[in-house]
Amino acid sequence: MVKNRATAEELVQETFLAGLESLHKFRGGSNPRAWLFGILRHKIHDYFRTAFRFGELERPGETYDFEAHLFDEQGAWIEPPAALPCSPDELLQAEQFRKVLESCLEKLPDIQRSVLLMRAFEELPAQQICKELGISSTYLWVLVHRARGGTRQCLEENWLRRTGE
Amino acid sequence: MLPCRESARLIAVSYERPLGLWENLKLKWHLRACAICQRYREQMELVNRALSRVSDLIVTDEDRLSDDARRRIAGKMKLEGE
Repeated sequence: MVKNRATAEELVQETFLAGLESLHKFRGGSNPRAWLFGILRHKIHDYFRTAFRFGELERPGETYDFEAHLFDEQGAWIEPPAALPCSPDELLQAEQFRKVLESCLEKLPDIQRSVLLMRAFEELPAQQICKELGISSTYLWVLVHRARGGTRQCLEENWLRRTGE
Repeated sequence: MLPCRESARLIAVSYERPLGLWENLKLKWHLRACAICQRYREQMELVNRALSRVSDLIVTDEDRLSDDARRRIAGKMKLEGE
């Protein structure tokens, strides 16, 4: 979720220290790994909320003309999306696909990658993300759609079109 | 018929909220007749499936904590625990 390695390590350190401090709150029988991941998730959200407020993260515009560059004035595709070369299951197994996916996610601005993963990987409710990051639901929509659309387009340009050539 | 751009927008929206009855019908009608938008939906589905299991797909040994970081964190915890 966090691109910078030093920041990631700092967040892990803060997580362990917070865990140590609140060890008395840990209930025996619970899964310590899940408990620490819960703390880490809060630390990551805190990091983004703070960086976002203080303008350390790129803040894309709050309006979004849905995928405008992909369509002509009549709303028809300018360049039709490429067909998948094989089944999604086969693609997800392919080493090259994983590499392209990783580089596509790295290219996204931090805040877009973060909210996209909160929605699609962590499956957090939109309302909770808005509250934790202090952003409106409209803006969350804009960020998630830019991120999902950007990832799709990057995969198409760097993988689907190349494998179809 | 629904323009492709609106169909693509509804596909994207469907990952964030359930579509309304009318939106769903419009999209279904469009997709029955438009192979290009079907491809767009397949691509978006692929992205979503990849994201939902991203930690299995792209976390490598290089993403793990370095030995230095492990030692540093262990040292800090020792200090805090004293």
